[in-house]
Amino acid sequence: MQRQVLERWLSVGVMFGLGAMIIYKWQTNRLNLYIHPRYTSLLVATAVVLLLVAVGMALTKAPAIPKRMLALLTIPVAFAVLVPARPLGANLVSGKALNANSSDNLLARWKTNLSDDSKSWTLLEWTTAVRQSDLEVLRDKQAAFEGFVYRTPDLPADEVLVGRYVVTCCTADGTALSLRVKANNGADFSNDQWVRVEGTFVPAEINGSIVPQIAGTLVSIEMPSSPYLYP
Amino acid sequence: MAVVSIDVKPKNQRKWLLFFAPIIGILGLWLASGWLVPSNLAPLTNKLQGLVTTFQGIFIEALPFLSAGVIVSVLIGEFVKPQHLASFVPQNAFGASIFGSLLGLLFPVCECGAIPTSRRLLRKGAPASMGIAFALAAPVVNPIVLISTSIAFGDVRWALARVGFTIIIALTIGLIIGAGIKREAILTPLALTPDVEHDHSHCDHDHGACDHTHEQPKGRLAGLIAHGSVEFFEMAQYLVMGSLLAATMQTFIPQSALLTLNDSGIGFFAPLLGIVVLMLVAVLLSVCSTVDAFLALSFLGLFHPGAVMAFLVFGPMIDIKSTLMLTTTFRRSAVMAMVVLAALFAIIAGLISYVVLI
Repeated sequence: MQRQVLERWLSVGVMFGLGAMIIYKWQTNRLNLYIHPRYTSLLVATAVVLLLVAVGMALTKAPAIPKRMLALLTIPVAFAVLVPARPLGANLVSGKALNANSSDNLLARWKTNLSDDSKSWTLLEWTTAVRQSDLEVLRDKQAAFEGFVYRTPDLPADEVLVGRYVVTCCTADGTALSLRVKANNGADFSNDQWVRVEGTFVPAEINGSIVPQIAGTLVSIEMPSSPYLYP
Repeated sequence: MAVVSIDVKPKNQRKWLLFFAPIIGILGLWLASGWLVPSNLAPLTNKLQGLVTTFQGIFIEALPFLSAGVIVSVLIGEFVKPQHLASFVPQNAFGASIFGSLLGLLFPVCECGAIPTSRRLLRKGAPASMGIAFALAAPVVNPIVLISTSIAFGDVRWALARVGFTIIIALTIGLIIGAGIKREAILTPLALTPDVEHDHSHCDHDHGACDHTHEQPKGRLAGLIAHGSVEFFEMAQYLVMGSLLAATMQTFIPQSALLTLNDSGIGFFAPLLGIVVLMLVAVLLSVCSTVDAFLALSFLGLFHPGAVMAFLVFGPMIDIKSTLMLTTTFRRSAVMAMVVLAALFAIIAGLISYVVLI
């Protein structure tokens, strides 16, 4: 009898935990680390339903849920409690980077209308501009965009890649964009630090080919409340 | 097919799995938490935290749709009587398959919701061919997906072609598997259990929750909550497993590897390769069918339209999480047959689209 009661309350607890996890992530502005903001209200509604069902399970003495199912559904809750929430970052760029030779159409599909003021461009707009135009046309345009620092071993100390993910639905479809930045203080930054790039577009010649690059400084910033870009 | 084999392991192997899974899980959790982790393991912690973010993305995104499916299923359980169903569902396999493949227009559910709904209908006495056709077609043949596909592609023809292919494939598979084979050979014991009205004994799952008796909850609402919560956990456990697998593969297999594979096809095989690669991507990503059109759109630049069509048709029918969920309703041999046939027909649909849309 004791054991049954325990199992029943465990079932209620896991159901409650799932709902509470979503509410907590919503309240702490972390839901958008995982999904496109357009689904936020849908998720909050779902969380309310789960919490109500949990209360209902407790009040009606609903039967216990089999242990294997409880154990598996504890996983997302355990992740939420024990693993620090962090957005997709430098850790996954190698797996999710945009393939350079096939990205043109992809970017065209993300239809970005470029304004005349290049200082308002996000990294997505910069990437689009770089693909669409002659690099010389962009020369000396001013840049002020945000992203995280991503280093690769082949870059000199004062050069970093500044990256950001584009998310269509959820983090499962995140695609990493990045632009090379040569910064006088570039050596001070390490992977995943969020920065604002302030500088101008100056194509650089590397190993005989011209590559897009921003020259300027990096300013350390807090992670933006929505770390991803949404096309 | 490795996905299906998880449950095919012999008993003693399963015991080993049960023994090691928690140990590996706790070890992984510790590494991912980053708490007192030695600095030389930091890169692994980084990767695992990325894995967790991807997992939560898939899991959280699917949760509302799974819950909706369970609610629909519980409501059918409560309000649809077997004799209702018998009076308007054709009893021959062909009619039942057609009916099943179109029923999604009435019950707008994605793949996470289609499977509990399908099982509920089967327990109400629906023919097996109808259950199969519904489970495969409903994720696409419903108003929400029609609208989202039209909006994403800005062209209603894409949506219509997607729905058309899906209906044809689902009803063909429903016919092939469902006609002439006994229900008992296709359905799990659970899906065969007749769903009797107001039977709140909750012994309708095979996982041992009813080894011990407990007092009967009173009232209709209590029954709905009891049914709903058990069904939610039963389906959600496969969502967790599927999301974990998909997130692990995404973390450790770079997408660029697949794209490189796509670019390596030559001549006659190039279109075929693109189709197969995008179908693999669909299985790996395991994204819900209500949102995958937006994702598919982003592939249109990288792959030919036939491959994108194969992605749109195959992904909602078969991916890691839905394959696992299908095993709650259909026997493993039937699930295998569904996976193989769906893959085959999706390739054909892709090739037809390649020729027509190019």
